[in-house]
Amino acid sequence: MIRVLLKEYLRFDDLVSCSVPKLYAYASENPVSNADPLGLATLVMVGGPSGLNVLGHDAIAFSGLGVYSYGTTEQFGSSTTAYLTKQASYRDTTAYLLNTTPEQEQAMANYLNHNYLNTKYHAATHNCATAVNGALMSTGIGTDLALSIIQDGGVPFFQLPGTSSFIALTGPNVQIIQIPKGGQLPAFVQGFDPR
Amino acid sequence: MAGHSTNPGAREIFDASMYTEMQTIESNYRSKHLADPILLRHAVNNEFDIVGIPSGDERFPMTWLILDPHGKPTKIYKMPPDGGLTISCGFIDYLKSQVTVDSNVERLLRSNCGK
Repeated sequence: MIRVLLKEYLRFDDLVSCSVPKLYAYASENPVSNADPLGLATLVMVGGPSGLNVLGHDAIAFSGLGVYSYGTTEQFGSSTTAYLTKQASYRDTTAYLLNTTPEQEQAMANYLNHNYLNTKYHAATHNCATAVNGALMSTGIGTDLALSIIQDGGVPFFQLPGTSSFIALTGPNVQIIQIPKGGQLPAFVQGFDPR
Repeated sequence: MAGHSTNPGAREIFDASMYTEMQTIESNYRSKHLADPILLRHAVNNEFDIVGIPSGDERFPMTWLILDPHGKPTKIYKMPPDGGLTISCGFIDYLKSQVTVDSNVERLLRSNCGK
């Protein structure tokens, strides 16, 4: 287990140093004024630790389709603004903006509706992180990373909250936005509310 | 006891299985557009009774409430959290004649009921 996790962290370092995604503090820059004029985006939200929940919470939203947060009080396809407002009241969130196509976004929403409704929650194997990572991988995002880990003799370990960061960082034209605890939401979040 | 923690991050660990089942129920009934409330017995975790109440919202037409979340860290399990409740006071009396309704939940229902 430790070896696998270590391998992932090494991969994470490689990704950060090689792909150099732009890091935005939304208060000083607004990346999304350029990012999603046509509704072509996916937002992966990785919430940090809070209290006893040392692992955090992962969720995903799609332009015009709303938020998909497995295991929280928000129904699938509900307001991303409301979700992030609540999250920001008690934790920091790192958001990864991926320039996906409408077809990818719909496919990921379909994946979640098909695989994460009428199924049993399991803290270790069927949780918020597997939902987000599975959705991304269902459209090919992150599959190269998983395959490279396997080819290197490792085991992809994407069941923990927070690991969605690794997958999201392999997405198309990823931008990173920090949403601090207690902070205001960037205006672009409204684009991820249901139409 | 962690299960009664007021910390939201801690609560979400203990609440996840409750909410995932509520998400399924909400999704399954979303397109049915029921005009009246519906009571589902032992529908969440094979234990908890849940009621669906017309919300007045077109996209999410029902608001769902666990009626007696005994022993759980959250007092009121409601989906969506800000969902409307269109319910008669008589239906609350009917619910209480059929199942256990927690006092916090009853208070919420009565604050929204009409004749």
